[in-house]
Amino acid sequence: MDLDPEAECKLLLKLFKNVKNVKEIKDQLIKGELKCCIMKPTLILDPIQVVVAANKALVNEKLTTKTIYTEILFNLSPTKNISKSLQTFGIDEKDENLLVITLLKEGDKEDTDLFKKIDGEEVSLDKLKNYADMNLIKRTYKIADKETNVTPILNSLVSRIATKDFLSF
Amino acid sequence: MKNFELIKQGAEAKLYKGIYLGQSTIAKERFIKNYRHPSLDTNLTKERIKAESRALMRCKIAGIRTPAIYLVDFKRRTIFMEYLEYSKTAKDFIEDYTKLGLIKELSQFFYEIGNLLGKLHENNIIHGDLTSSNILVVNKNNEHNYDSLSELDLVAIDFGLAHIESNTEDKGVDLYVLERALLSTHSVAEEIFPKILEGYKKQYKNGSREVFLKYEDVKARGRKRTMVG
Ligand SMILES: Nc1ncnc2c1ncn2[C@@H]1O[C@H](COP(=O)(O)OP(=O)(O)OP(=O)(O)O)[C@@H](O)[C@H]1O
Ligand SMILES: [Mg+2]
Repeated sequence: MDLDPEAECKLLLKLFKNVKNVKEIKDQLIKGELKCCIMKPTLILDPIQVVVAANKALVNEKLTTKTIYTEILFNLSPTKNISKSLQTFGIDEKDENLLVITLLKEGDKEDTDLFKKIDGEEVSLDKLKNYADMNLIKRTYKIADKETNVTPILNSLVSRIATKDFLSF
Repeated sequence: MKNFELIKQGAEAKLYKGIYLGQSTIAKERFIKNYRHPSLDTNLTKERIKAESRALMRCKIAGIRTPAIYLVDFKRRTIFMEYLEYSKTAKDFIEDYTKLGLIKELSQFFYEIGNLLGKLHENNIIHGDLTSSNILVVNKNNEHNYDSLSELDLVAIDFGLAHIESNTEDKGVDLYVLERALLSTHSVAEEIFPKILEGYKKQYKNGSREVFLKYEDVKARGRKRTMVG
């Protein structure tokens, strides 16, 4: 997926279901052995949410968190609390479905070693919205019916992601 | 800017249209004012961009549709936002109906514009530049068809001069600015403005009376000014 030309890279998203080794993957993530961002698909209605969050992380000069990948998770979250953001959007041991986000530099091939470590079935990204929990999304991003009655939900989501560093909701 | 074409050069900003993050996008870039000290200019621009974004967000929360925001880039002094492809300005919409002699059929439409403005002010959002070009009429089904009111949404744009303010003076001025803009744009303005005020009143139940008084005040002052000047 295309990002800002200044970012000089592209975004690759993959969705997996029935993943058997989530604990193992989570441990490797914490140790910094995996160059990616792995998250719960329940809070993502459409890839554009991730695109806007990642793009912002890449365009900004300074990061609020340690790596570009934690920054994507942080940017996705509507709060400014880092650990809460990572907890809400990151994975738990009891999760079975994973959304994996990697950044590809010009000419890079996708990291097949990374994806081989995930013991689960890959699902087409078109199915992403079937894994989303609409009520949880509205609650997490604090979107009331008054808003969804007139504004498309993706508009509400990406706009919050784009502005949360200087606005509070 | 790569992949963008200039569509409008305003007083404060340049407007570009293009594809960004795979979306049809408007990039609104505020330009550098050379008569200002550079660091002052950077700060003022940053504050204006924040105020514009804040107003766009506050509208959504208040139940007023505004373009989606894709990126706020202080370094490039630019807000990247949704381009509403299937839209025309309320200005063009009104003119089309006027030409066909069908303006009478738009009562409900003006009433809804009034509702929108009532919601704005109820939430202390002052637009600062209310005109019929700063409201878009958007087709809900992604097609270029503007014949049926029930298939249309209103989207408020251009919050470049917006601010948050609870006093009635600014709200009165907002209405006055709109009236002046309508009078200079539409031959049918005298017919439509009262309908807008009606919708405004209906929406903004416990504030419109005071705002109307202020508006009359502002109008009287305006008249005096034009008589003298
Ligand atoms: N998000 C959008 N989607 C579609 N069209 C838009 C959008 N934003 C602006 N436009 C078009 O561009 C015109 C000018 O935009 P805008 O009002 O934001 O700029 P401006 O420089 O303040 O112009 P003005 O001085 O005329 O108010 C609008 O009247 C509308 O026709
Ligand atoms: Mg305008």
